[in-house]
Amino acid sequence: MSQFIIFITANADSQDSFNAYQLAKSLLEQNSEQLKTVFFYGNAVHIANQLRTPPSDEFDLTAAWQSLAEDYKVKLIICSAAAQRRGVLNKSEAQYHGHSQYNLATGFHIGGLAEYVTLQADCDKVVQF
Amino acid sequence: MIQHSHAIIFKQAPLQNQSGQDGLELALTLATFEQPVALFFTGAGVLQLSRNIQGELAGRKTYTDAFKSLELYDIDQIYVCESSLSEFALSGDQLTIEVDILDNQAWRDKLAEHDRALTF
Repeated sequence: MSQFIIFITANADSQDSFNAYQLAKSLLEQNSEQLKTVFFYGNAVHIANQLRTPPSDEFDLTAAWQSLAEDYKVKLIICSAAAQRRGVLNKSEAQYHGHSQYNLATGFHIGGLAEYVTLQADCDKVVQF
Repeated sequence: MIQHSHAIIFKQAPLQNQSGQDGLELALTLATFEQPVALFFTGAGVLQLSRNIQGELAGRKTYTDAFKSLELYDIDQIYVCESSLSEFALSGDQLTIEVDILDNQAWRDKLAEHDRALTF
């Protein structure tokens, strides 16, 4: 078994973003031990905006990631610097920056590049979308 | 920590979007954790190293200045695609830092020496 880490820079609205989800899902279904972390960087962090509200007859990718995180032990990490720049903040960050609201979707965690660098060291394969 | 040699590939022009800065920050973080890092510039990505970029004129920070600090992070493998350089009418001495200019074959060989490639 190989240990994977998925590194997403593709915009949350792009097809690559959905492809990343499909790979994550099939890896977890095959053997949930082979994917422990998905790291969202750059424009990919928009996926963790709780307020994304696609029309009801369209696929809700944010909700789909949340289900994966709930069903498996996979950790969804959002880069804090990339996320703050793009307006995706958790409660304590929002308070720190003097905002009255926050919007980090449940199931996603704020992390940093340092966390990615540490986690990738123990993985066999990095897949970028 | 297990070391994996990283190739960070820059394909997009600076200031157009956040991509170059994202790639640079990742490279610096990897180097901080003593992961071997090489930077590759191809296509419009060669413009990241162009001299006299003034981000402020475009309402952006001139983050490309940080490429000059790569030495401090012990990042000394910097490769630029020769055909991309000529496509943008640039020569090595018009770049902010010292680089190795590679033809297509040497580029592919060099890239193949690295375990991990991340593209920006």
